[in-house]
Amino acid sequence: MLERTREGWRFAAYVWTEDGTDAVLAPPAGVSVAIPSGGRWGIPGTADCRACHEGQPNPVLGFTALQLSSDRDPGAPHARAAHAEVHLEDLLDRGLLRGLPTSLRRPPRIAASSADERAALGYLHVNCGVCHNREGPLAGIGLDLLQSVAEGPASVERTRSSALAVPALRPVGGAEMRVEPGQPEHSVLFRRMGARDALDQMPPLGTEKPDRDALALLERWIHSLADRRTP
Amino acid sequence: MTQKKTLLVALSMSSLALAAPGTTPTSPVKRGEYLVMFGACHDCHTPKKMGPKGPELDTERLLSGHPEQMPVAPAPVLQGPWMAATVGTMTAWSGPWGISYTANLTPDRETGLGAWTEQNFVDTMRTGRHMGRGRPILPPMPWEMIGKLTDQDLKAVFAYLRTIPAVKNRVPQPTPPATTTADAAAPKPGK
Repeated sequence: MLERTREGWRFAAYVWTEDGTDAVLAPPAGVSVAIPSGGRWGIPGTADCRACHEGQPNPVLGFTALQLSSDRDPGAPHARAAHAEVHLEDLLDRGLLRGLPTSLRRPPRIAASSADERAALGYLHVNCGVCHNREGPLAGIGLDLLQSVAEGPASVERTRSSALAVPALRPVGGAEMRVEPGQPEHSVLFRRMGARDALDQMPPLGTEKPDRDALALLERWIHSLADRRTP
Repeated sequence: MTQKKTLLVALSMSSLALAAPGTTPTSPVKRGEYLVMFGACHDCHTPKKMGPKGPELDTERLLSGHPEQMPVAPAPVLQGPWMAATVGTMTAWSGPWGISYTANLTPDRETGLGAWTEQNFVDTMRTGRHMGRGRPILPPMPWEMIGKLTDQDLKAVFAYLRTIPAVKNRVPQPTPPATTTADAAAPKPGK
């Protein structure tokens, strides 16, 4: 739960009691609970909440304009047509949204050079741009995966120039570049998305299994960049 | 010219000199240096060299972490109550967590903390995660205890770390235990 107080945002996680009638405050460090069907589930601690929610200036982590665009991306992993009725125009019509910026009058979309790039950058925008952007605490590492609708193609180019053929601060077993054009297996971004051990996995918390559909998309996109390789 | 040189030498000497015993450090940088010294950060983060009385701190590589060119043989297999092992420089440690190498804390941008902000440093010590949000910090780094320092003291430590010479030294990545390496978990492209 997030609560906005006079002192700032407060984060807390609660654990359901066994009969499901109440929930109790989880310890600040989080807790691992058994799942009746087998296995365990990690309930995040306060620091885990902050790790994601404070990755950019606004800690709410709500929908971005791109996610609410009626110009749906058919290539987006896990896209479902049923979501199409919730979009900016719909929210405007229902009076739930006011003061839409001029740049959003046309349904926003990522100014990518191919369908795969559009879907790949959209996925990175939503799942990685929360932390890897140029305004939050990790701005110093210079990886910007958050798209700006207002900036259009310049935003896409900024993502490319921050990732393609840029040495990673933390190489992973044979992969040195953040994205090595044409070579997914030598791209740290791809390798860490596919890892699920505490040292290498991205995102670092909140997931148990790699997103295979997204990895297949990222693999196609990185292969498609082969002509951008530097000799 | 000679006077200028003398002044420069005197300034650089003074930047290495700790506040005299019994006095209270007067600036954040001095306070940070005092805390780094008392917190024994050098024990693990500064490589050692052999001196006349045995191993001593290699002050040319102050707080630059495990030397990248130093080969590390496979860790010994420990038995019974023995749980951890370290190398002679105390910059590489082996235990149930795998092998960890002490970090380069100098302001070098590519290999040290040069890209870090003060807030990244404070967040790291508070959460035990790199930059407050990345991978977990491994033993034997006592971040839980250091994280109990006040914001002011943690910021003083960071202020001091900003003043030490940048050393280009890419510390090896930790080796996870068992088979949960990135190689094992890496997706197989094209399959």
